Amino acid sequence: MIKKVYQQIKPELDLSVSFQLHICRKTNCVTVENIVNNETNDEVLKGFLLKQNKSYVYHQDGNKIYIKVEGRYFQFEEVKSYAGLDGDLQGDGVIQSKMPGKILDVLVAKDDLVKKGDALVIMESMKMENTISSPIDGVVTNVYVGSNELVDADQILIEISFLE
Amino acid sequence: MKISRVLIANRGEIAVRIIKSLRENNIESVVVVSDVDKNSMAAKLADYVYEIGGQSAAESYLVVDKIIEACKHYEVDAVHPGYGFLSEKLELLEECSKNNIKFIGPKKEAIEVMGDKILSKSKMAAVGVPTIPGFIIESKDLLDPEELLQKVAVIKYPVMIKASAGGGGKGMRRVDSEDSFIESCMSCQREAMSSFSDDRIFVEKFIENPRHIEFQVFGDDFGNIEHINERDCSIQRRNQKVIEECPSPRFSEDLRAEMGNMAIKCAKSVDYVNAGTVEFIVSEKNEFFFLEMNTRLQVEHPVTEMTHKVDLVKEQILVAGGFELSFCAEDKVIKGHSIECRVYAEEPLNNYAPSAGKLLRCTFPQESENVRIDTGVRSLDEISIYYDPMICKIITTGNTRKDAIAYMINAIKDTTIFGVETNLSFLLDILTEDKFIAGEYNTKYLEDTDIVARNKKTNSFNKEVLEALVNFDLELTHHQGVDPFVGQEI
Repeated sequence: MIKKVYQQIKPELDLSVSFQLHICRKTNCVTVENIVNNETNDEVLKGFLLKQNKSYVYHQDGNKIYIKVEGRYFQFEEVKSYAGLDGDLQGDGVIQSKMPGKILDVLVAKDDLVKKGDALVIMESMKMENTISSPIDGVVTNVYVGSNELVDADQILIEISFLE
Repeated sequence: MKISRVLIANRGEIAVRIIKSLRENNIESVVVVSDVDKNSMAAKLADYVYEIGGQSAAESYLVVDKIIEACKHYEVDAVHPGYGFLSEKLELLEECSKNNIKFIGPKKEAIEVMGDKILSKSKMAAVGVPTIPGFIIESKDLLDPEELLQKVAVIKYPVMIKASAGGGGKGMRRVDSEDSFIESCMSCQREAMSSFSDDRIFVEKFIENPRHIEFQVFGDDFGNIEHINERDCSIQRRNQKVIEECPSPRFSEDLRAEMGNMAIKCAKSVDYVNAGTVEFIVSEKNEFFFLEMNTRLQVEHPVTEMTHKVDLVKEQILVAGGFELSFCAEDKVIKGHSIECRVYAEEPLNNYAPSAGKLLRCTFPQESENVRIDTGVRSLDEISIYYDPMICKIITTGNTRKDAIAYMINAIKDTTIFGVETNLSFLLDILTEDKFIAGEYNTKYLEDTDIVARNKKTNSFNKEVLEALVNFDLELTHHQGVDPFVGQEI
């Protein structure tokens, strides 16, 4: 039996519902598990069959799965093991750029104390200004970029550590 | 003059849309393409393609010399600038006339006056068109914040600040008190500088809960100027339009007539020729104020086309060729109701941050008399970081507004875009919301109804969604080799 585990991308949108898809190719069976409480919600989720009157579109690209149901979109990414998940879920203070662009301003310096939601960096991409804010309360441990610097997608801009 | 070959100085959906009208009228098309757009849909559809190189707009579609070089190479009769890029830049018009190429748009004076927010406003006030109180701020004014704040206090908060040059809401910000005024000015200045190379900004009184209503106007070389009714563009995010419709819901015949006449007055005051749009802001008490005039074809022109059964691009070429406007009385009557949704590559749940990437799958519903899709991309095309993140415009038309909304909901459900984040589900959440359905909205609609929160809820992978898609029956899953996900796409 081939078992693949997929985790929903951007589960932070609603922490109360974060799921993993388990895809078993052999039986064409997909199970979905609630990974926040580590409970498998058996009554609701086991099969992944098309109900006759509902339409959906599925697309697989490399390690990602895209599903559209009734105009709603869900993305899943394959994860190699459960072990890595917990660390990711706790959330750390590694601030990355979402897409290539230009840093307009860096509002914090090393050793600054920051609160969740504080503006860290003002960035411009696709002709739009975006403010990147701190996801946690903590202390700035590293600043890797400066004003007017061009950055790539996923480049690490700033690191913040939890306060002990 | 005879126009038999036209160069399109633009890209994406508008380039494709212009090519379609040119083809229907037996006019050859030439498109210019940057390195990024060499294999675009527009490049594929055009009769001729001229590579101008470069990636960013500043290296490609904004370089007048390259556009003129392409015009000369293919000996075109006229240039269609589309919207954005060079469409409202005097430089392109001037270089065209130097080289004996027709610029499909208004005359120099109209662009000059209307391209300047300050000049246009004073000119409109002078001919009796109502305008909003405000003034310009230059870099040097920010050196004396005290004096500046005193001047702003006279027009009273809340105020709006925006880039003095350009349009499209770039750099626009609302400021509620003097505490954040200076900081907002500086941020606005930066965006103005990077978008338009002009850091002058403009401050004016903010009208509470306004609607954004614009009139399509059209003029010709014989002094005829007509309006073909309004578009309601009040559904906006970050001051950029998301949904537009014609006619405006809850709009009286009297107001239409009054504002229409005012729009004609605006256009006449600058001897307007070709297609233009006069934008107004309308208060809760139906007072209206001149906002600006866009001296080009608008993104949302299809809703006017669909409800009036006219082809605005065809009319633009006709007028540019020296003919008289061809609208008859019947053409100026609104027939049915049309809605346009702009589908953006963006994340509504992440402050509408643009999303770049490859369109792994991009399919649209079949076009019909009720559904029109204006797009410039196909599956496997890239939404690049260099240009505007609009993927397509979906335009639906029905006998009533209710029908148009129903067609739109189906059209959005029948559209599939994988690979980038989109606002598709966000659009669904607007189209099914009570206030929108009732037509009771203004430019603050998205904030007031908190569509973002609604979207967050409807997009979570929750019990309801899973129930819609999951049928718990393991016995039925033993179909070897059948991909459980191959659903039919309708």
